Amino acid sequence: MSESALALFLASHATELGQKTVEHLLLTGISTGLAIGLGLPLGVLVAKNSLVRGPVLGIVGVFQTIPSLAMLAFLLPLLGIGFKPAITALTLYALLPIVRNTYTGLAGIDRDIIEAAAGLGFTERQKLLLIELPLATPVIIAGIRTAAVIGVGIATLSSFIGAGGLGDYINRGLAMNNTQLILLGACSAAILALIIDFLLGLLGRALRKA
Amino acid sequence: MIRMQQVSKTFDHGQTFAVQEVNLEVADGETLVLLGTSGCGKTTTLKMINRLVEPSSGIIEVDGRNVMDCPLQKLRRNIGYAFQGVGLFPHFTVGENITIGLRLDGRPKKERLARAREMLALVALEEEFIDRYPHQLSGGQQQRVGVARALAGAPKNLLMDEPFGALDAITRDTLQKEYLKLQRELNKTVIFVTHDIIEALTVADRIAVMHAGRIEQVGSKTEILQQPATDFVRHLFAKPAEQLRDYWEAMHE
Ligand SMILES: Nc1ncnc2c1ncn2[C@@H]1O[C@H](COP(=O)(O)OP(=O)(O)OP(=O)(O)O)[C@@H](O)[C@H]1O
Ligand SMILES: [Mg+2]
Repeated sequence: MSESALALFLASHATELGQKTVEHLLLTGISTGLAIGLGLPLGVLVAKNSLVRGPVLGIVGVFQTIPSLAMLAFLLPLLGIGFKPAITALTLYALLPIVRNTYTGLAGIDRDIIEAAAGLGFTERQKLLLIELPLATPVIIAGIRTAAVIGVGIATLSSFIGAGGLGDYINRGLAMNNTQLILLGACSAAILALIIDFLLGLLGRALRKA
Repeated sequence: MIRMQQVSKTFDHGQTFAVQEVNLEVADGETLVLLGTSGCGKTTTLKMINRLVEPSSGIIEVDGRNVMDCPLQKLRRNIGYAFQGVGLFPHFTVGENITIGLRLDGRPKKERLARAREMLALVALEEEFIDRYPHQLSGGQQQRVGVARALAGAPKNLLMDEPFGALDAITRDTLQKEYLKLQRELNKTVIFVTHDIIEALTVADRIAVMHAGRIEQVGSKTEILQQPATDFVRHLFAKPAEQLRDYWEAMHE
């Protein structure tokens, strides 16, 4: 395809591409957000309570091993088609890196620091909020980064159950045997993943300095 | 006042004792030095007083109250503790580290700043350290910040676990003198852990010699030096002189 043909192709899809990107961002953003809301407390629980550690890490690990299409197929009879099952599946995938990194980040803090906080009379809550979570933040952010990037990739598949997003191009391209459309979906998703990874990397570095 | 009665601690269900049948009494305003070799149970003894370690048996009282009956946070906030591992918070500045206790108490920022300055001067650190982060300090400087943090809440009781361990002889001497001056003003009840005999003799009102989890002897400096109760105590104090003599002999051979 010549340069001008590419420009023309992109121009004819610009509005739709914007809309699909927004859908894609919503799918990834909402699911990652939910996974943070769920995974952060779970990670803290796992770090503090060795009894639930094995089972919780096991269960969130299992989600990750289910092939994405199979997961969507499983959720179909339960939640139907569309946005909701897609968000559910994406959230379950995002859970593992966030829970595991929260746990790893908390477990990796120097024992002397934890002991000093306890010895100075911090309550458990003060210790968690003032010392442990801030010190674990770089590792937690790394987990969120992984979750978001995986999310962008898997979100392309949710198009199969009618949740929209950039996967729609891939789907349509496959149905119409149109490589350009497949590439448009795949490349846009890849670029989106890179941008999100880069931005979260910046956030991580900013928080480390703060 | 700090009192320990028949206090023991085992980490392995009674097979070995890190601390065994310890009896100690530290009067108000007194500095008791806990002196002993590595692994003899000094840190474990200190940690039991503010319940970082729960005793296996025995009774510990601080200011007449059984520590097991005190609310945990309240007990710890009333005891200053300079930890052997220092344990400064790496994401807080020196100033924030020193005054973290005041922050937990909700004291205003201005007061905390003034307090941090005051404490820095006390441990002979320049004021510009206040905005540095712990990793920008030498080991000995970090240790002094740890001492400043222990003192900042103006606690009546103080536990100091080898607070000057990482310092050279000269700085150590300065701080020991500073400590004595301070102690005359502030009159805190202190347990001071060290394995340095000279340091023990410098800062102590009384010395407790510890060996293999047990207290071998408690007494004034004169008592310990002139009437050592056990071979271990005699040996402990004779050792440096012996080493010095050996050294001289080797040099003049
Ligand atoms: N949490 C623990 N679990 C098991 N054993 C422990 C624990 N803490 C201390 N011990 C053991 O108890 C004994 C006393 O340790 P402690 O830290 O009180 O010694 P110390 O006198 O402070 O030594 P040092 O001068 O080297 O700091 C040691 O044998 C140590 O291995
Ligand atoms: Mg020790």
